[in-house]
Amino acid sequence: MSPILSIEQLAITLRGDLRVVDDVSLEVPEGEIVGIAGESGSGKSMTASALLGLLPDRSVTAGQAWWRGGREPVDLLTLDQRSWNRVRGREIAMVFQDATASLHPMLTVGTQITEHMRVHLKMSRRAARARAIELLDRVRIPDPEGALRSYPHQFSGGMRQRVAIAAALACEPRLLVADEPTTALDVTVQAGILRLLEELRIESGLSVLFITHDLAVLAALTTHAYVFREGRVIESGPTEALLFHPEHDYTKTLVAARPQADDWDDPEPVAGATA
Amino acid sequence: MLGSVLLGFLVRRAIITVVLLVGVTLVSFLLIQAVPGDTMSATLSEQALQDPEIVAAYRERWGLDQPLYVQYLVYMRNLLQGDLGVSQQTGRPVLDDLLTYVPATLELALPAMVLSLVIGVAVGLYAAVKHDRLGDHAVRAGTLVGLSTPPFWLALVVLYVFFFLLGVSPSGGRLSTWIVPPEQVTGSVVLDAALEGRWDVAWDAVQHTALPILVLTVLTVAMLVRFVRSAMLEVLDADYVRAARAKGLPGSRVLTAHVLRAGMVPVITVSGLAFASLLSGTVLVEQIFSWPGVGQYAYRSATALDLPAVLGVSLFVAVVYTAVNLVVDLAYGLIDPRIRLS
Repeated sequence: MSPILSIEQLAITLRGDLRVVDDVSLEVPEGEIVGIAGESGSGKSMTASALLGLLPDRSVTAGQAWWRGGREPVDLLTLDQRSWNRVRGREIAMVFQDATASLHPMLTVGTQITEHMRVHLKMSRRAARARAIELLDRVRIPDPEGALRSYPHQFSGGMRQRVAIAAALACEPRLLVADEPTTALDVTVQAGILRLLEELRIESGLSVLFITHDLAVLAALTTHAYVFREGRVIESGPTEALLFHPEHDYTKTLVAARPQADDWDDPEPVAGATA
Repeated sequence: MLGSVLLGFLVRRAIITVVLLVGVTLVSFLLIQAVPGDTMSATLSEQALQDPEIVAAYRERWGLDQPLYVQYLVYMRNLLQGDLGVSQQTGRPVLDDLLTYVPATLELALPAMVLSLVIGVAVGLYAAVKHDRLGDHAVRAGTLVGLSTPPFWLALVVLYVFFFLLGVSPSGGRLSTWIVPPEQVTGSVVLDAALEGRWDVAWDAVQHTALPILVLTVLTVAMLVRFVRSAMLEVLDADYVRAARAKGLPGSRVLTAHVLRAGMVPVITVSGLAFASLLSGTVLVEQIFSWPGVGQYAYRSATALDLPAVLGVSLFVAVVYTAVNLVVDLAYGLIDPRIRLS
């Protein structure tokens, strides 16, 4: 079966001739979680932005990004504004690193979860509300009905990221692009979010492109991974092989540099803690 | 709970306002004393000034023979009873004077402010969206010209063009001279004429407001646009705007529901200040258009050292600024739940 997303020789040049991504090829098979690892500035977030048409003004792209999650395959890099708005939010959704910044501080959670449902799925206010309650329940927000009327600042960091994930899932996208969604969270909360993503993958066949600089997270969540450095993919393969038998010197350095605590076991849940 | 928070806020505000108003009267009172010359030389004729009897009678009539602190206390006592005193220059109660001059100013300030907000927000947002492209540069050039244009010069130019060259606009005043003014109800000639059903008169009054409103709007818009632009630029860069785009919302919805909403907070502050300064009168523009507004009244009272009138105007301006600030703060709460709920 052909992958739901295949990027072929993607290059991104920012205004001022700055090439931030070069010759990147990457595949996301349907129903799998694929990881991108790399340090900041390695081009991983730019790659994610390109997949949602969110590159900065006057950036130039080359290559192709074939998306097969819609009615017919399209090259994402050639979409115009109108076609973009049919794909993003509907077929491809995104979760950002910092939910505090990516949720609008002045709009209720209800508005932020339902507004694109009403646009994409032409749902009535009431139907969208009902679905939003389901979604919040799905990402385990207590008292979903009250949450709809609340504002983001009334939630904790982990709860906010759950709200952002609920909003991303609202229109049942086929692919979720998650750009370091757990970096701003503490470890317990992070584990909860990762478990949630894995459940969603199993239950609804969601594909995820998961971007992180945390190799432990990579190992825990992804089956296949790509290592980015200076805008290029320097190594890729099944995550386990990649991390335990790295071929490339840079990957070896990354693996060696991770905190040694034989960590990545799920931490014991703290009594009373909610992620 | 929200109600009690609001109540506490309003009570605190009221106390601050009272203290502020007392301070304003005191400062204005002392400042007037510090100015060399007095109201007599401004009001009485040369001949009358030579006559000690007239001078003595005048001083007694206005209480100028009392010590300074008595004068001030008497003023404050009357003020508490709602009596702003009598203008030495017009011979009418200051309150009555204000009630005729303030509506005239409002008739210009209110429409100018509404127009400025609509145009300023639209153009500022446009410039922010077109950041560093042709549209943005054009807007920047336009606002620069607007900001560096002296108001009186602009007023003269529009008069020259629309009255002298094109002849489509009256030269000044609130009504054409051959029209009997409507009876004062609201104080706005336009509204009062409309209330009497004299539509032709109302239309004539509207035509008289057009040029001064145009001048005031141009100046206010030029300032607003720059603020709106920078406020919106900041918001356009925010993650939550990227997130809104990532949700596939139409561009218009992203701009109105997400960008404008967040960018309005700083804009409201500036608009409040702009409105307060429009309300406290724009002397030069009023002068050129022979508009009997607060600015003209303030100017004439000040040059005549007409103490009750100056104090009255100062109080009015202070009340305007505190009221506008109160509205601005309430608007913050309305727009930003983080302020409302904390």
